[in-house]
Amino acid sequence: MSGGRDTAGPRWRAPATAAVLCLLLCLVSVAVVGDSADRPAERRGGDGMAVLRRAAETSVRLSYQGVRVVSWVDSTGRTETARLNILHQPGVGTLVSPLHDTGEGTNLLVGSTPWGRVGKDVLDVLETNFWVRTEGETQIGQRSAVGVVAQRDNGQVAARFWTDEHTGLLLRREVYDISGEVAQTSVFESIQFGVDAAALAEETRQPDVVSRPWGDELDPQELRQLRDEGWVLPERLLWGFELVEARATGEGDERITHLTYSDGISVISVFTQRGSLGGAAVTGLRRTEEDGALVHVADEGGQHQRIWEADGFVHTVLADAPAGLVADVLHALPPPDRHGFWERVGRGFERVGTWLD
Amino acid sequence: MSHLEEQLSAFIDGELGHSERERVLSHLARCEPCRFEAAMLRQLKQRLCTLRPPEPASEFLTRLLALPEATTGDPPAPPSGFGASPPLGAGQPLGGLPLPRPERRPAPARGLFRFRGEWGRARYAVAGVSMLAAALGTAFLAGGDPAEPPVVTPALTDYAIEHAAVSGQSPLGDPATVPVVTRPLSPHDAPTVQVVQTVNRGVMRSDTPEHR
Repeated sequence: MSGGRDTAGPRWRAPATAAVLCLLLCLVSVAVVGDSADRPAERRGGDGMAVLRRAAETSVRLSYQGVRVVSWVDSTGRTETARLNILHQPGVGTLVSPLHDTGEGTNLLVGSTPWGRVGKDVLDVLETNFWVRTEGETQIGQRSAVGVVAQRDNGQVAARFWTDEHTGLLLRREVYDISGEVAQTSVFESIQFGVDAAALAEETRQPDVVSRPWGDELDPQELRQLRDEGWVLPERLLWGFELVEARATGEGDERITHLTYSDGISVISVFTQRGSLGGAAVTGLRRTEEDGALVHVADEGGQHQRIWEADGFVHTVLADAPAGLVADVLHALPPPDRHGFWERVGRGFERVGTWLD
Repeated sequence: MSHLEEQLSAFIDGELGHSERERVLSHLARCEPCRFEAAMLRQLKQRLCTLRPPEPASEFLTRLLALPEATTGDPPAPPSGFGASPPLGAGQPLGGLPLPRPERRPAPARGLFRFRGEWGRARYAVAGVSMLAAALGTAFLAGGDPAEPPVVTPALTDYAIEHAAVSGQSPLGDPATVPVVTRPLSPHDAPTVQVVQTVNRGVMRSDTPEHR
């Protein structure tokens, strides 16, 4: 018997080694497949991407001034329109002033801080999510424009853009909801290029509000650390919305994170902080009950605002995206806490189960 | 490409860990059928959530309350072991018919045993209900918030300005939703966020060739 074991040893050792190697190879390949699943899907894009890249570059590089008419459909199906005076100067930013009948209004200066890397990321996300192709030339007001359409895999139109043929600036934009209906439009009612820089600088020196991003930019390691501490900070939401920027303000229990997601067309901000709402009302938002849970919502001005509490955190979402799309996209975030008897009992059984584990 | 199957249900129920959740989201971003299935599951869950917990039937409650009385005189169930029933084609069981059971006479109640007859099987029901109540009570206590989180008020004005800083710089973004932050009327008033003033309301019309 012992002799048999001696001779069997080398004979079995080779297949066993091969089996272990095969197993290792399988594990490595599974890991590689898992990594690739996390990566964004293959790029789609098309000949329209060059037109849109030029428009993005021009919107930063060019001086221009004009009146932009914007329209949107809110979640109740109501359509509203507003007029904005837009003033842009390279290196200074874009001054946005609502044109009110009463003459009252607050000027907001945006874009005073360069957003270079993120802007490129947003265009990359657009190219990943949509088929982008040119649609020929047309007239927008008095100007000749090149049309670009962004479509989903199923052929549904997600957005249309028209850029000025001469300068490349974006003149008109339409965003479609997942139902296929037009949800937002904006178009320059009038525009002039190369405004007097000195006069523009004089005006932009006196904005009522200067909008600058929070200074604390979160790197991947800090994001991982926060996730380990229980913060829900997903890398992507549904419908191709990818995390393009993460910032924070405050320290300790007063820390607030701001995660920006984009599908290349629209932008969604998710603010998260520890705490609860304590059942109190939130000024400017209406209380509503969804599936037995309390949510505070407002969707006026083309921006969907939503606040709720979940698992010891308060989430605030500000979304410049079609209402139907937002409703679906937000399912990737923790659902609002329910406070009924059976919900609490269910949570209790879950916790007891984890204790037993 | 393999689909999500059971993972999708766990995702909808919020039971996945971070990495699994990311993987599911990544898959959903590319897979239309799974996205559709997720929407269906979500709708189903929402409908189930709106259902109220079932009320016990009044008949059941009546029967439960009547149990002590019902247990006092009932004979035990007939034997069902081997040989208790007649074999196929036979008129009587193996070994003949069982002897007639002597008539039960109530025994005189002695000490604690006098309650035995009244309780009968009802005591099992009471014990079951007690255990259920204890389990629910334990779960209710365990399901409470371990430490009450501090009450916070999201600084919506700051958030709106921060959001505008980002969305306003999106390469193909639109200043359509840049909020107007109104100045406080007095030093004691908090600033509020308003949206741009509406100048008209109506049906949105597109002048693109597809919508003419």
